[in-house]
Amino acid sequence: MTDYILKTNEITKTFRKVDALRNISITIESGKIYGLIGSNGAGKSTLMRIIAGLSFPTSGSMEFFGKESPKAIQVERKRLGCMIELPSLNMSLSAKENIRYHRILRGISNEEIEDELIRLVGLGDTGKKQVKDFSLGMKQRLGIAVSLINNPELLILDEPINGLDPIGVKEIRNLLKKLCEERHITVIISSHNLPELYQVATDYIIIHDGEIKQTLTLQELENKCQRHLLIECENPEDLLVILETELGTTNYKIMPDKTIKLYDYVDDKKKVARTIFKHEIIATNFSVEGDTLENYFISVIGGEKND
Amino acid sequence: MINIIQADLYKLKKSKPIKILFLIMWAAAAIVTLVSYLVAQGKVGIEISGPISGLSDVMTIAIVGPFLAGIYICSDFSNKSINDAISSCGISRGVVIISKAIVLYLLVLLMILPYAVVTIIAFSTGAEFSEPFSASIFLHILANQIELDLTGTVFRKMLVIMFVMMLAYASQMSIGILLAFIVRKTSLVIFLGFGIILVLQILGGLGTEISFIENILSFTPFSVNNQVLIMDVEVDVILKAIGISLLFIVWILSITNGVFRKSEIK
Repeated sequence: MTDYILKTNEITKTFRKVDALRNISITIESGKIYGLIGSNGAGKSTLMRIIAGLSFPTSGSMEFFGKESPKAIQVERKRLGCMIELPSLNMSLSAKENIRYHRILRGISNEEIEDELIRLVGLGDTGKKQVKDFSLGMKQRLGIAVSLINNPELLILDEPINGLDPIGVKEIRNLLKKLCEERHITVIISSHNLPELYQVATDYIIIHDGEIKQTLTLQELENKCQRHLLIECENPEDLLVILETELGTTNYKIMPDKTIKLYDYVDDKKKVARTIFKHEIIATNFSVEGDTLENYFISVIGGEKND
Repeated sequence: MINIIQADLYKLKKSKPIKILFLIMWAAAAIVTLVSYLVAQGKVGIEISGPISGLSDVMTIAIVGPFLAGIYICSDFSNKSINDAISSCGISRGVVIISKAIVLYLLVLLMILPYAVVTIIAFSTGAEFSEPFSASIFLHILANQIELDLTGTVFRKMLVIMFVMMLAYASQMSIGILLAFIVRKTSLVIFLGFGIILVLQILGGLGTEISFIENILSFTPFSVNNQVLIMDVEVDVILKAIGISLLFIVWILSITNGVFRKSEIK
């Protein structure tokens, strides 16, 4: 049986007769990092806010940790950690005081967790400095620390790397990886930028105009995006022999339709063409395929490729 | 519920505006009582009552109550504390409202406390006090009970009356809670709350003269003021005042829950 912790069934959200979400059905499995990707206004935050109980669907239902009734789901939300749009922080308190406030709010008596979390997000040296004097990256990291206080099983982060400099992005990325490795937390992280999530997510949900356009794993994404030479010929077996003996490569894949994806020599296709022609193999298709992550995302949401 | 209350009290304990406000209330209570004393002694003229009436408990609470609702509840919307309680603590919206209301009532009581303490101290001196303006419940008690000796019974009765008054004030501030959960903007809550509460308090004061208003306001804490002020008040009047105040709280919080239960939280 699949171990899922969240399932949405045909969720639709309408604001003033405009659908912000249309028939959203997703399943979130335990232990994975989901990248929720969509351009601004695609419906990412709306979906996250419905999951977090800050908004209500116009129609559709949700199953959360096996519970379906709204009251039971609300109780189960204590297993959730959230940072949607902005972190929940009191600007006049210090980092530790903010953590303490949220620890008391969650009814957690273990005070040691305060220093532990502050160290985890690299804010151990901030002392009594008020949060209003923190940089954006520091606030984001503290927001993540707050969302981790109750040791959540599902962490929802809405654009946590938005507005951060490259170092800040790297810090958040490393922090998320660490959390998943050490604490086995399931994460839903949103961004409007697919390459940004590429290094952290294990699964991707592409949303556009309130609809789920595609869900795919990291492996599937890599397959779709890795540049390769797509070769189609009458005798693929002979072609494989030539690739291995003449070109010395085994970095290829045979597809179900007998076409071959060659991942080497993408930038030296003349050499491949010359070699297979020399051995009298007639290629009926010979082309460079594969997208950049960005172009792939654009093609999925229905835009034009920028070649 | 206890977690929200404890967490908010922790936060408010560190809040500078609350500390400053508390000091201002002490100063206001002391000034009003001092002026009342000086007027009674003939050391200052009655004309000073105009500007000083702005520091009376009726006026300050009308401002401070919505101000507290604004900075406490609205700021919890803007800093996402309420979002966090709902999304990550499994706390229902109804419990959020009740918890915030309890803390706000405690804050209102804290802010009225200086008036009560100063009144008791002034009363215990046995000195004569005047009532240069009517917008002070505590001053009314002070100025009109001069003929009474400070016996244990009088003191206990005075405490009961003050408690009822403070409960009525807290109950009136429920309007600030309703506004805070609907409007969610500090400045608007202060502006609207002050306006509404002040108008209702004035109407409450006029209630005995205009029967139409009296009929409407008799079921609200805004009518409580004049009924319980006298020291020989009957027990049933006190109980009625407590009942009205508590029912008004339940009524306003129910409306707040009805509005907030299904509303979007940004």
